[in-house]
Parts: sequence; structure tokens; C-alpha cells
Amino acid sequence: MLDIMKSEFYKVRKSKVTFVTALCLLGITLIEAFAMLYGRFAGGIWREALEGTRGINVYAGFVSGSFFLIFIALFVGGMISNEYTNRTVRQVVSRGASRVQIALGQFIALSTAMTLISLSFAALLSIVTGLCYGFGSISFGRFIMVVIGQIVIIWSYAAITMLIAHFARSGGLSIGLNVMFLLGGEMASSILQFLTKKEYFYTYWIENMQMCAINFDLEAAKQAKFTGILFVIGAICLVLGLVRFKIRDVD
Amino acid sequence: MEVLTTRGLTKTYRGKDVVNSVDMHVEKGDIYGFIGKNGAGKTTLMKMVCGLTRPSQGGFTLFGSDDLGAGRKKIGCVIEQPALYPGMTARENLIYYSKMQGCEKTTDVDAMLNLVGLPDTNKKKSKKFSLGMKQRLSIAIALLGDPEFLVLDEPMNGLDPAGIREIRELLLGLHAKRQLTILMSSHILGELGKIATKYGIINSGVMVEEFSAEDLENRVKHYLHITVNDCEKAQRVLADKCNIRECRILEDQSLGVYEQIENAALINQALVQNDVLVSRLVSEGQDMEMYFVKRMGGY
Repeated sequence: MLDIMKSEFYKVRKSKVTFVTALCLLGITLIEAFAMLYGRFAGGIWREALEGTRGINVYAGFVSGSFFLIFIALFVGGMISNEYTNRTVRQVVSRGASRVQIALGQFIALSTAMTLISLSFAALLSIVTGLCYGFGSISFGRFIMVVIGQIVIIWSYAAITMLIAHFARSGGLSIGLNVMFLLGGEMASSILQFLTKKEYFYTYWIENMQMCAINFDLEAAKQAKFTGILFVIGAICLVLGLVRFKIRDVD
Repeated sequence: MEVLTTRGLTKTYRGKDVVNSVDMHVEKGDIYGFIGKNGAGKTTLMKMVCGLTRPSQGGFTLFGSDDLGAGRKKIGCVIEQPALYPGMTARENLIYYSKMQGCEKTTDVDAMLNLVGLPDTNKKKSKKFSLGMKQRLSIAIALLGDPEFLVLDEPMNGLDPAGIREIRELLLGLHAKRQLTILMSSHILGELGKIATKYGIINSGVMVEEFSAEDLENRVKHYLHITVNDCEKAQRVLADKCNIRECRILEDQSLGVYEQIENAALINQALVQNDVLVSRLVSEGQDMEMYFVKRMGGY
């Protein structure tokens, strides 16, 4: 397992998909950092609009929204789908290693890379924001809960994407299914809530849970609950993804 | 020892048996030429051996054992097109696979690149390689971890004559130096003829037959097919009068003469002068390609 993980980390390091994803996230970070700095020094309505922003809010919010989940889908889904497109999955599977270990090693390497990239840029942006407008205050325990929430969001959605990618096998189809899942799912949950008047359709939709898992203004128990539910969803999808890869024909 | 033994190996797709109850035997040290038309089932069988697809029925052993996981650690394979990471160089591709197998010495990677004739690719990404270079890199990847058994699906496909010769010489060299067992499919029958020690012919998913290279030589050899009234006497006459030793009684109780084929008239004369009645004398035999085409279900 260790050998598989070393090789997968090596591949992630060398991959253009990693480079492009990191570059895009860096670009977004730099644009936001520029906006913070501009607001701070230019003044006027720009500064007024950003006055309430704090470093800790920016840090926590970096992994929020469907936009960020699409990035996870592009990165994780892209890397896994490429294995089928390039047919390298055949070479990988034929070396005698357990398929479960291979898929798990890939998942760990991809999720770790996404976590390191995202949280590094989140920290960078929060430092710039903090220097401009203040860092805000948060207890150490709540901060840890936020970080755990961020990690769970990334790893759970990576597991969902991995499951989709092992079914779809093609990069375009994998991304398409992810986008449909996110956008269609949000629409469906809103419609169901409207029609049935039941809050839980929206409450337990993935994007809302994502927001709650990193919301340190929410009650700690609720934040922990949503983080836990995301964790369970991720774990189930991971297991299903591993089983799918284990039993499927790779051709 | 048999490196690969299949027993009733079957693969069914959508109700159709693409590999149908195949029994195959690859001995240690064989270069096994696996021959069949497009769609005959060669690649599907190789995929099952390499663990890419699961058999629908039947099974197989590797190195005499049912522990296929352990067996596959001793196999290297190239199935259909070369499977490379296009954004990585040759060296990076090899490093990735060698890390996966726990062998990380960069000297091994450099040695492998030299072995397959790719020492100077440096920073060139594999997506920019020619097909011959990709094939050679694929073979290098298959050789990582010192496998004992190579499974190669049409390794000479799409190569020019120089490339084909290079791959052939590489495989023969590996077979000689490392005592590798090789299972190789190819459409280039002439090339297989230069390298294979054993053949298996598959047609529409069914194994038609297996035979050694020696057997093949006998089957395609030209000979004089002579119908006589007394085969044993004819054999004695030919041995005494014409010094012909390679002479067999065939299934139809006629004689097959494998020496001095160009002296048909003298052979006939010798037989007749020694009271052996000759009712038919004809030169027969076929070339290897024609033999295979017929056995594969061609014309």
C-alpha cells in the first residue's frame, strides 16, 4: 500500500491536471487578494463593501460553494478519467497489486493534493485579508472544527467524484455528471422544499451542508452534525467506488 | 513447468462467447506465438490472464499456482496500444511504475531505458514519441520488477520493418539472457515464424490447436507424396538405392518423401526397377502463411 501511495503521489506531482488546477485556484486567490488590497487602499464604496470581511471568514469560506466542488470534480475526476482515456489503468491493474489498494492509494493522493493546495491558498488569502481588515476572532476548538469541516468537504466530494469517474470513465462525461449532480440537485432540493414545505430537502442538500460544516457562527453541535453527515456520505461513496473498481472489467 | 495453463477458459459478452472453453499451455522458456484473425479472442484471453477482465467460466493457473495475485507480480504485459502517461517523459513513466513495485533505484530505470534503446529521450514527453518508441517504452515498463513471463499483444503492430526487427531482436535477446517466457500475439506471421518456439491458433474464440515450431516445420515442409502398392518395401528401396532416410508412411497409407524432392524422376525409376508399383507421385506442401490462414478459418 505504501508503494502504491508513493507512486500515486509522484504521479499527482508530475501531472499537468494538478498544475492547471493549482494555477486556477492561485489565480482566483490572487484576484481576491488584489480586490482586498485595492479596497483597503483605494477606499470609497469598495472599502465600505469589504469592511466587514475578516481573515477567518475568508479562510473558512475558501472551500464553500458549488464552484469549489466543480474544481474538485475537475481535478479528481480528470485524473481518474485520464487513466481510462490513456489506458494506463490496464498497466496499473496488471501489476498484481490489489485493485482496492490502487483505487484507495489514488484517492488518498488526490484528496491530499487538493487539500494542501486549497488550504494553502486559503491561508494566503486570509493573511492578506487579515492584514487589510483584521483576522477576526475564533476559539482554537472552533478553528479546529472549521479545518476538519474543510477537510471533510474536500475528501467527501472527492469520493463522490471518484465514484462518478469509475462509472463514467470519460473525463467529459464525469465532469458533466458532476455539474448535473450539483446544479440539478440544488434545483431539485429547492423545488422539493417549495412543493412539500419540508425544510430538510434543502437543509441536507450537499451545498447547504458544505456551508454549515465551515460556519463557525453556527452552534458547534450543528456544525459537527453536518460535518459528520458529509463524512458518512463520503465514506459510503468511497466504499462504493472501491467496490466498483474492484469488480469491473478494465478494458 | 507450465507458466500458464488455462482450463476451459471462457468469456461471454452479451450472450456471445468471445473466448470459448480454451485450454492453453505455455511452458517455461516458450516463445508462444498466439495466432488468430481479428476478433478471434486473442486480446480477450490475454486480458483475462493479466487480470483486466474476469473469466465467465473456467480458470487458469500461473506458474503452477491458483494464487493469481502472486503470479501476476511475476508478469509484465503490453495489451493493445502502449499505455503511457503522455505528459511524462520516458524516465518519469518508468519511475512511476517502479515506485509502484517498490523498486526505486534510478540506476535500474536508466538501465532499462538503455536496454530498450531509449537512452537519450531526456525531457521529451511520451506523447511526442513515435509508435516504435512507445512500443519500446511499453516493453520497458513490462520488464520492470524482473518478470518471468511477458504477455505481449501485437507488439509489432504499426511498426516499420526496421522497428519490427528491433523489437524482434530485443525479445530474442531477453529470452536468451533472462530465460523469459513470452506469450505474444501477432498478425505478422513471417515475424512470428522467426521467433516463436510454440504456436497456438484460435478461431472464433475456440483454440484450434497448439503445436511446436518443429511440428510446424514438418507440417509445411514440401515433400513427394507417392502412392505405392507396398510402402515398407518402397522405404527399403529408397534407403538402399537412393540413400533416402527421411521417408514416412502417411495416414492414407501412402509414402511421404522429404529428401531429394527435386529428384522425383530418379525416385520413381528406382521404385519401378525394384518392383514397387507407383500409381501416383506428386509434389506437395504449403508455405507457413497459407497453413496458418487455413487453420485460422480462412480460405
